[in-house]
Amino acid sequence: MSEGRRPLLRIEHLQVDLPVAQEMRRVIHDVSLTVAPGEVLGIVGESGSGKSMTARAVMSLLPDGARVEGRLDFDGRPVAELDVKDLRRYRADDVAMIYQDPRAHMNPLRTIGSFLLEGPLERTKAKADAVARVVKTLKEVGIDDAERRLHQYPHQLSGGLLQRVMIAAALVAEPRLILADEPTTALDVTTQQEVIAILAEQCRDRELAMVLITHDLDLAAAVADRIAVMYAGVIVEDAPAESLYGGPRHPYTAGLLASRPHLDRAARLQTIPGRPVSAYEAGPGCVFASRCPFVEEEAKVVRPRPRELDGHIVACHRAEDLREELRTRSEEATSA
Amino acid sequence: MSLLEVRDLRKSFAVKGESGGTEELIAVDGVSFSLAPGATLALVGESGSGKTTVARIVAGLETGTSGEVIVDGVARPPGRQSRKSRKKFARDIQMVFQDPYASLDPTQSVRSSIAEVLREHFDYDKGRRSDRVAELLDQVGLDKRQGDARPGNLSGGQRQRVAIARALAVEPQLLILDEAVSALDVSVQAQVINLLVDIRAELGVAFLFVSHDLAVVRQVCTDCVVMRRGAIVERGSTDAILKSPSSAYTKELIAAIPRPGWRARRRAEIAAEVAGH
Amino acid sequence: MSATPEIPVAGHVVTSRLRIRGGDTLIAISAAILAVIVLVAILAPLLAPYEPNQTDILHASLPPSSSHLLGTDELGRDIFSRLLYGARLSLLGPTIITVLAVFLGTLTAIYSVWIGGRFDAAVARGLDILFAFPSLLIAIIAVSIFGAGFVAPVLALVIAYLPYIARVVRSVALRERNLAYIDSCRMMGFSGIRICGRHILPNVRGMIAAQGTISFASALLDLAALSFIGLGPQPPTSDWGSMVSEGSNELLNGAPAQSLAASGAIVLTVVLVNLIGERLATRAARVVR
Repeated sequence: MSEGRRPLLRIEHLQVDLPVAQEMRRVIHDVSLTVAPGEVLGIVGESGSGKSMTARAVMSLLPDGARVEGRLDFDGRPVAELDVKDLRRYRADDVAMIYQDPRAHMNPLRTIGSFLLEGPLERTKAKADAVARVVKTLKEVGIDDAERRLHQYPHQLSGGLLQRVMIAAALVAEPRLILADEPTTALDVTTQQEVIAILAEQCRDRELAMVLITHDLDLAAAVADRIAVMYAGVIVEDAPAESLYGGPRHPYTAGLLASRPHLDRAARLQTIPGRPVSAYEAGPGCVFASRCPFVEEEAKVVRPRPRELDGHIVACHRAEDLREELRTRSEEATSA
Repeated sequence: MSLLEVRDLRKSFAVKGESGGTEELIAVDGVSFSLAPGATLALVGESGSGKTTVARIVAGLETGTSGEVIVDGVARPPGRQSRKSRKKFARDIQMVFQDPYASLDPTQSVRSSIAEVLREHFDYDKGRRSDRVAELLDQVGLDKRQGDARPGNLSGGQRQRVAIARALAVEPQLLILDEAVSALDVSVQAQVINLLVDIRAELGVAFLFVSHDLAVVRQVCTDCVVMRRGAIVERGSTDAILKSPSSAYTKELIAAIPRPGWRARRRAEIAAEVAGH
Repeated sequence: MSATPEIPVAGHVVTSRLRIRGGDTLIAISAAILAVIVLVAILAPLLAPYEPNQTDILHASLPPSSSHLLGTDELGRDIFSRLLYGARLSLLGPTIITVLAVFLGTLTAIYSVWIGGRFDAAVARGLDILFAFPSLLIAIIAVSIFGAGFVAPVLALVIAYLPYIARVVRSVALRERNLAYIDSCRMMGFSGIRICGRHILPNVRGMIAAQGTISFASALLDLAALSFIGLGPQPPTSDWGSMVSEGSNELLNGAPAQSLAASGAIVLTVVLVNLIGERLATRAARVVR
């Protein structure tokens, strides 16, 4: 966490329950994190980790009936206390979200131009200015024939182009924080590189903070300043990207790193037995206890509190003991 | 003799062009390759490369516009397959699909779906069939108790295991895996990759592995073929291709994979660098 | 990823009414009342205090009393007994229509989807054309050719309802057919009959049940309308629709019992059936994989 600057986003002990089939299910147990202005935070997790829900909580866009506890402050102000008008402004100007599937978030009956201009035209009456701004942003994301594209419809553009349009829409609003939820998961790897490069460049140039949510640890490590690893609604480890990648302090992070297939050799992959669970499926005690190779009795009963270790924030009872063990395991896994 | 030979396969569609007339969309543009018994071949490419179309034509789910698919020396007849033909080819080639949530019948229990396959192709009595189902479940790492579950109660990884068990039930010579692990979580994907490698070692079944993920391909396939826009741009052993790719496209593909020390670069930057050399 | 319990899919209309789960009390009550109505129709000979067609001019147009629960009509026939007997035809007609339309419509739809290609496109257009004709119009044409009564309207409505069911079933069957598990069955070498009957059909069951139920209600109304204008079962046989018509004179003279009772019976049945049908439709749409 950067010192001296007030965090742009501060989440403390976030807990979220969602109504499912007439009962409330916990999807986020306890999440605390901060994002400083201009910082890129990667949130990495598998199914059920709660990573997408965290982003939705930040946007205050949880499904109806959701129960939220804990603190969520943007630039010092609690988001929960914003009135309707301020909330709209918050969602329009301060925070922008980029989704995995751009097609699902764009009206197929409206042109790209109509979609992009909706926001700016709310703020200014001068249409020519708004159009100029939109065109400039489109060029910045690599769409050179921007004027022509404004008249096209979503179905005429490929997935990669559409995602760039989405990014442009997010940037045009000049937000201070971008939430990118699996923005490149549905794209080819070559397109992914382009899109991530654009995002990283724009964030640098505009001093934007970004939260990149992904299941791809390698991608997060390449782009983020810090990575928070989520499992079953809990942040199990939060550390600077290089440090986490090179030396994980939590068994789950280590397991995740070790189970990725190598590009350079064919070898039997190390696996984590079982399957990823959601918050409500995890029992009392450590959420990872049922799959952890280092589990001891205490972990089955007492949920570990996140604490600091070597610059990482780890939620593990045995973090100190396991340091060496995890180091050797991850060295084997990431030697390229 | 090769197990599978694909000769100059072509597939094109007539689509409505932007200006109103019909255009020809070429999905597969003259693809040829062969696969020896027990071998592993990957079809690698991005979206639009035609790799899935090739796999589906080999599987018999779609028909090519021209070209031949020869399985075990017998050419697959063109046009819509008769039931007899489909049944015969079922013993040669089976397929595991990408979406674990769409590849099993939601109304059928695991046990029943495997037994259905056995009943269709083998003359086992009830006891032998039941034993065989248990054997297959065990082979894919599923518990006996999960035999009675319906797909709705299984996770993505478990469903793919069922799909694999079902495909193996017919004892095929070739298993086509169409992005079979792409939709799985990372930790589960590793389990299924290990499973596939084990199955191959145990049964000697050949794999035709369609994937966009080179790292996964590395683990499963000794040979691979890189496709782009319907054509093959490079072929050879996976090892050789990944270590020293010869085609520019393959180089681009490999360079785009995030890994330690990698930095995402924009096309403009890459082009400038290439031009500078 | 967490497993979501599969929502149970109801079977075909008649037998599953009593097995509907889901803790939905409104549906349970509706189904119970409906069951009572059906039972009453079946047991009419035992429950009716009088013969339905027994005239008694001396006791004509009597108001409701203890001996005649709903009074008597112009010809002295006991209205309550006629109501009970009328239920038989009023429920039998829609049942036959629903069963036949569902059977033929489903068969057409699934076969068409299985064959696919130009055949399917032609069938879809054919259904669209049939669909364009209002059901009552077809029924009236049939009656004008074959005469009024029970049979002609029922058969005509089977033809009228068939495209409605077929269209709905075709769209869900098409969606299922394009899923990977059907490809998998094709690759296993299963016969078309097995794939359509054991795999596609069970997965569209929910929608069939929902549409069938709603069709039952529509058919009941259509037949009642035909009877009302005199094209249904001819006197002395009568169903609720004709009773409404027969009682219309009395209605104007201040004795609404016959018309009211018959229309009330129609409305009650239609509402109950629609309630169940809507629920089945919601469930069918919500089936989780």
